[in-house]
Amino acid sequence: MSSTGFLSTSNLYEPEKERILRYIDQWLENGGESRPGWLVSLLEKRLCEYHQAEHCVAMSTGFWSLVASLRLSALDAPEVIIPSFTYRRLADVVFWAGKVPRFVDIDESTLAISPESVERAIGSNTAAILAVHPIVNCCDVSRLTEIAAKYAVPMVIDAVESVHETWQGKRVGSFDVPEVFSLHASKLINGLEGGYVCVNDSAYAGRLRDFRSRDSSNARRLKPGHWLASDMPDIHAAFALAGLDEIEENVRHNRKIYRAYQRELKGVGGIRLVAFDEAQQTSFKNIVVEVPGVSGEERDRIVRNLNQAGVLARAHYSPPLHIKSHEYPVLCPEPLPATERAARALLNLPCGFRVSEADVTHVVAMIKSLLSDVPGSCDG
Amino acid sequence: MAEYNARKVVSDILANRYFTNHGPLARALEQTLEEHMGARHAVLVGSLELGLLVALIALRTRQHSRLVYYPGDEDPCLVHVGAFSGLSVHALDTTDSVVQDTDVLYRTLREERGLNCASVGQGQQQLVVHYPDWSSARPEQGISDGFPEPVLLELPTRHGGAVLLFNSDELAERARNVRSSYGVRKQVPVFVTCNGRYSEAQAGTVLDYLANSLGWS
Repeated sequence: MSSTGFLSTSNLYEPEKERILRYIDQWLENGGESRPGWLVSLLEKRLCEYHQAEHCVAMSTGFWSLVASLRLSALDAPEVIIPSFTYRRLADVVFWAGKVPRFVDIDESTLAISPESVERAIGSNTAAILAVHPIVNCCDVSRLTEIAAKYAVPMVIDAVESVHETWQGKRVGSFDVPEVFSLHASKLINGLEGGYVCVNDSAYAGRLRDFRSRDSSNARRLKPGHWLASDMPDIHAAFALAGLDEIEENVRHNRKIYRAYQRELKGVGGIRLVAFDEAQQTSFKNIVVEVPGVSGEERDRIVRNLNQAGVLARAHYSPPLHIKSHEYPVLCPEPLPATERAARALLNLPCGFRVSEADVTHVVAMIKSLLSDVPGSCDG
Repeated sequence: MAEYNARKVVSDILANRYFTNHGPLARALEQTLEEHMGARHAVLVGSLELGLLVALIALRTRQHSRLVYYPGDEDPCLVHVGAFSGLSVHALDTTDSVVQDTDVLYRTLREERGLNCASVGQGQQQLVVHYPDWSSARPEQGISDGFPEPVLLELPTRHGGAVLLFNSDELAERARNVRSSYGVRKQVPVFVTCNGRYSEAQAGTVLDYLANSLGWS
């Protein structure tokens, strides 16, 4: 069991202390706080190389990187198309972007936003598509890009869980639309807090830099809603740079944990581990399982029991956004059957740097025991 | 510029092994600010601008439609804050008055005036931003019982963020819930969340400055 006593679904990678301090020392030798952004610029350069992107703009959080990208991309129309089966705050991102979220369904086989649903939702009210990579593998970037081009609608990709991935051999971050990543400690690269946008359009990158700038002259000249001081602290950049240096070690650990789940879950209650596409480069970070033959209520009971034992498993994206109540306007004109089925059946299991192979054995043994109490499950 | 020991901040974070938000350093800073500023609740936010957004959503009523200010309090960030939060922004002239149901009054206090010098506007919905002179900040500058809340203070150090001070338990909890799920004491419904999260590194820099430059424990 992790030294904290909890096993969580956060990555919590811990870069080597001396490596972080070497970056801090470099920054201090180059002026420290009298040259704010020195390490952030270095991080942006390294992330451009890593993602094979022309530009990278680091910001204070992934959330506000998404808001900025939408604000700077969206057409003068009210709606932004987003999946309902996603991060619980994504509708709030659209609110802060000054738009109304319109929820669409997922493709059940990939758990990613369904291109067919997106195409059905596009109309004269569409301001943008906010496509989201699921936490295992990627959305269909090619098809979504075609749809966005066909209808001349801007697209932003939420790639916060897809830092290391490739789609059809091409690095996520290099698709020539704004792609947004997170450096929160729960994500693959631990920058404590932060986010960044990869983009190939230099004018757009400049507008993102203006958006995040502390310079009050920018605040005076920019269109209302196109500015919010949101630059990244250099200490966060030091953590992120060290994490980026060590990313292969991080991924190796995650692969080991994923393999342990593959072994341990074999034959347990018919549980299906959502598989990483190993033909692509992948981080192996997130562990998602489907528990067949178990109701949503039983799934939630299993989660509660695991949580009480310090195993911080979670119902995966449940409830989905279209089921939640919102104080601001949202739209969901079509039924979302694939989303609702997925939201009843899936679990996130502990993963990341603080989880060991022995922890995986422990977690799976607990699940097996809990399933044996569930009538109708393959173990019950 | 407020100075701090960046190496020590990194070492403290690694020693705690707490990397996400509202960890031991942020909790210690909130407690320090509550004690020194004389407020029941200190709610840390990632930046001054995010503090404005968090406060406006926490204060929000269905009737609110305007963010108003007196000419001396003009700030270029206000039009953006208004655009994000859906409020129209108006400068009041000498013939205007604040409309109690629809307006949130934005006020600023500069370093030469302590918080207790502000006595106008009782009964109005107000958001007071205070830019203290940290080099001379004293504990007795805390908010008094009758002072409008929240007060938003910009913290020392470049990325030190800001803090919202409340005496109202209810308003403070709403602000925590708007900020993010980290640091929430009780879940309460809010209009929208805004990710105003505060990092351990931000807290570490401010704590280090307050302890070593101002002698705050």
